[in-house]
Amino acid sequence: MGRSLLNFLFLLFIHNAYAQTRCEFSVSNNNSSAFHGSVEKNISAILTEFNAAYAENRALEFSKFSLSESAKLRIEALWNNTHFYCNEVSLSENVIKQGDAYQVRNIPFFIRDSEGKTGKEEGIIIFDGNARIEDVYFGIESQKYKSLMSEGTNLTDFKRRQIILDFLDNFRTAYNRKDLDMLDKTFSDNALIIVGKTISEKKDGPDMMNSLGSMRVELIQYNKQQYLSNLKNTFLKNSFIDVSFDEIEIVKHGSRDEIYGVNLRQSWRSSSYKDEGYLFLMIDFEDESHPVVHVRAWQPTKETPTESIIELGDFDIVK
Amino acid sequence: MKQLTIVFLFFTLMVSAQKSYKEIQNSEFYISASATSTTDEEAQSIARNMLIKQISSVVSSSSTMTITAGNNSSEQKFDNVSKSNSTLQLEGLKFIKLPAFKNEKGVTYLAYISKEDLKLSAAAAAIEVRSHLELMEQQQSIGINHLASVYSAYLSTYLTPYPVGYKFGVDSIANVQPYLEGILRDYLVKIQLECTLVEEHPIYPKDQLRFHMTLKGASDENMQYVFSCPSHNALAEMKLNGGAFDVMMRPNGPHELMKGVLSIRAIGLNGKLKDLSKSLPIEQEKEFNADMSNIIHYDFEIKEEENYVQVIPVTKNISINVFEWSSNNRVLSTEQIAKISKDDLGKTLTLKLNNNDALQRTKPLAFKVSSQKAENKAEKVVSQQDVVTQVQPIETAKETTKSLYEKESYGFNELKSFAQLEKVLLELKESGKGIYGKKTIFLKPSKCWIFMIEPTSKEIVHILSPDENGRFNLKDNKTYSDFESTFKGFISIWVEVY
Repeated sequence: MGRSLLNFLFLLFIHNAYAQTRCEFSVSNNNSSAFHGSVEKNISAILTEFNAAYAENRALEFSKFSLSESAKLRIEALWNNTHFYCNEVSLSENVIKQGDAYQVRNIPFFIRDSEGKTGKEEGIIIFDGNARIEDVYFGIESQKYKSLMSEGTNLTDFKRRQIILDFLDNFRTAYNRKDLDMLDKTFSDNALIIVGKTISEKKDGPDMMNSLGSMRVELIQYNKQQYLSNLKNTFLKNSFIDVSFDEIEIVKHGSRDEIYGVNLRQSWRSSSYKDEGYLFLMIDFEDESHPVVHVRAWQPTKETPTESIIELGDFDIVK
Repeated sequence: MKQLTIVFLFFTLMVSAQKSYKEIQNSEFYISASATSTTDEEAQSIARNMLIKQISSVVSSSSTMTITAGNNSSEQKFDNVSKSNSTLQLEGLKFIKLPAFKNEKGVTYLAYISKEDLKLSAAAAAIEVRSHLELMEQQQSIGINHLASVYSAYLSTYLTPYPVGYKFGVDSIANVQPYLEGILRDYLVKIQLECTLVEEHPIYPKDQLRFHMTLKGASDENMQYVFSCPSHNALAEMKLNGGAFDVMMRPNGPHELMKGVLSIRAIGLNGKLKDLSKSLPIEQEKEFNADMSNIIHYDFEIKEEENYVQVIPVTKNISINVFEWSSNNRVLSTEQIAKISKDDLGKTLTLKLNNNDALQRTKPLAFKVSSQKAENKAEKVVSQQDVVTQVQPIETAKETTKSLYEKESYGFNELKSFAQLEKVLLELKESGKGIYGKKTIFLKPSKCWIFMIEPTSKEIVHILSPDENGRFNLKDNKTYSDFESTFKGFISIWVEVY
C-alpha cells in the first residue's frame, strides 16, 4: 500500500512537472491541412523540450520532434551559449512562407546566459515543407519586422526584404552560437571589414585642459581572415555572446538591384565586454539562396556623429 | 502613263487590303470583329468592344452579391457582370480600316488579335494576378495591411478575358475576380463617414466651408478613400486618418445631411492598373450629418419709426429662401426686409427662416408710442383683459421716444445671468464696441446701459436703457426717472456701447 502510494505520488509529481513545462502551439492561419497539423505537433514538442531542459538545466534531447541534422548542431551550439524557455502554456502564431521554407515568428523566449544574466528574445523556428525543423534563432522585434515588411511595395521587393531580415536574424544568432562556419560562409572572400576604434587625443595646452582630451574614431580595415581570426579568439575567451540588432534600415542600390545596404544599431554583450555601435552591411543577393556580405563596418555610437555613419552611398561597386 | 500607273497601284493596294482583312476574318488563327461609325476613333472603339465581347462570352455571367451591413441590416447588392467591354487590355490588338462600300456612310474598322497573342496576353495577365495574390497571402500571414494587394489583384483580373484561378491553402477558387471584389466591397460597407467639425474655409471663408472628416471602420493605411458629392460638385481624397472636404455651399439649417459616394483604391498605382482603377471603381453611397451650428448665425435688427418698425435680418453662412415675421401668433410679413405697423405688433417679434423651427429668433418689443396712441392702446388692452404686464403709467407714456433698438443687436434683453453678461461685455470690449465699469468712470453716464444684478443668485434683475429723462427697464417694460431710489441692494454694472 505504502509503495503504491509512493509510486502514485511520484507519477503525479512527474505529470505536474511535465504539465508546467508543456507548451501547446497552434497555427493561427490553420487551413486544416496535414502539414499544419504536423507543424503544431513538432513545434509544441520542441518548445516543451526547451522548457524541460531549462528547468532541469540539462542538454537538449532531440528524439521527440523531427529536425534536420544540421539544425540539431546549430540548436545545440545556441543552447551551449544561452539557455532559454517559452513561458506560454499555449501559443498561437501564423505560419509564414519564405521561399521553399516556412517559419513561425514571435515566440517569446526568456533567456539566461552562462553567467546567469536573464533577458528576453523573440524566437523564430524555421521548418521545411514536411514540418521538419531546420533552425531556431532569435529574431527582430515583431513590430519592427512588420514595419520593415510593410515597405515592400511589390512581390519581388517584399521577398527580398524577407530574405534580408531573415539573413539578419540568422547572422545575429550566429554570434550567439559562436558559429564561425556560418560567418565564414556569409562574408565574401574579399570582404572588407571596417572597425571603428576610439582614439583619445590630447591637445597641447594647460594641464587642466589636457585632462579633458577629446575622442575621435579611427577606422581600421581588416580582411576576412583577420576578422574571423580575431572573432575566433573572442569566442574562445567569452563563455557567452549576445548580439542584438535594432533601428534597422534597408536601402536598395540605385542601379544594382541585387545590392542592398543595411544600417542598424548593434548591441554586443559578452562575458568580458559590452558595447554599442552603428553597423553597416553591404549584402549581395545575386544568389538569393546564399547572400554574401561584401562590407561590414562598425562604428562606436557614442563618438560617431550622425553624418559620419558609413552607408551604401559611400562605396563604388565594381564587379 | 504615269496616271495609269498610279491608278493601277492604288487598285492593287485596295485589292490586297481587301484580301488581307478577308483572310483575317476567315482565318482560324484570328479572332476579329468590325464596326462602323462616323469617326475613326469611335469605329475602332466599338470594334474593340465587339471583339472583347466575343472573346469574353464565356465569362460574362453575372452574379449578385448581397452584403449586409451592421445592425441596420442594410443590404447592398451589386452585380458582378464582366465589365470587360471597355476595360479589357489586350496586348497584340490591331486594327484595319476597311474600304467603304457603296451607300454606306461612315468608316469601318476591323479589330483583330491572333489567338497566339491572346494566349500570351492572358497568360501574362494571370501571372500578374497570382503575383499580387501571393503578396496578399504573405502580407496576411505576417499580419500587415494587404488590401492594396487585393485591389491590385482584382484590377489585374481585367487584363485577361479568361477567369484566373488560385489555390488559397487547401481551397481552390476557379475565378478570383468576384472573390476579390467581395473582399473589397465588404471592407467598404463597414466604413462610416463622420464629420467632426465644420468651419469656414481658411482661404475662402466667404465662399466655402471645410468639413473635417474621419473614416470610422477603415483600417488600411495603404488605401485612398475618395468621397464624391455630385450635388455640391465637391470631392475629398482622404487617407486613413481622414481629411478635409471643401464645399462651396451655404447650409439651410443647423444640420445638413450630406450624401455622396465613397470609393476606395490602392495608393501608388501606376500604368495599366491606374487606368483600370478609373473605370472599375469600388464605391458605395454614403451619407453623414454635419453640425453647422458652429458657423451659422441668424439675428435681426429693428429700426423704429413713428408708426412702424423696419426689421432687417442679420445672418451669416446660411442660405435663406423663406422669411417669416410674426407676432401674436400672426404672420405679419414674408419679406426679407419688412416694414411692420406698430399696431400689428405684440409684445414680441419672431423671425423664422426657411420654415425651420430650429431657425427662429424672438425678441421682446418695448418701444414707445405717441401719447394719444398710447392712451388708445392702453384702453384697448384694458378692455380686452389680456394684459400680461401692467399698463404703463401715463407719465411714462408722455416721454419722448428714443430709438433704443439700435442697441438690440447686442442681445441685452436675452441676458439672464451675470455669467452671460460677462461674456457679452468681454466681446464688446475686445471688439472695441463698448466699455463697462462703475458709474464714476463715465463722462456721460446718461449714455450708459445699466445692468442690475442680484448679489446672491447673480441673476440680472433689471436692464435699464440709456436715457437722460428716465430709463426704460427691459425686464418690466417700465420707465424710471429715479431708478437709484427705486432699485436698492443690487450690484450695478454700467455699459456704454459705441
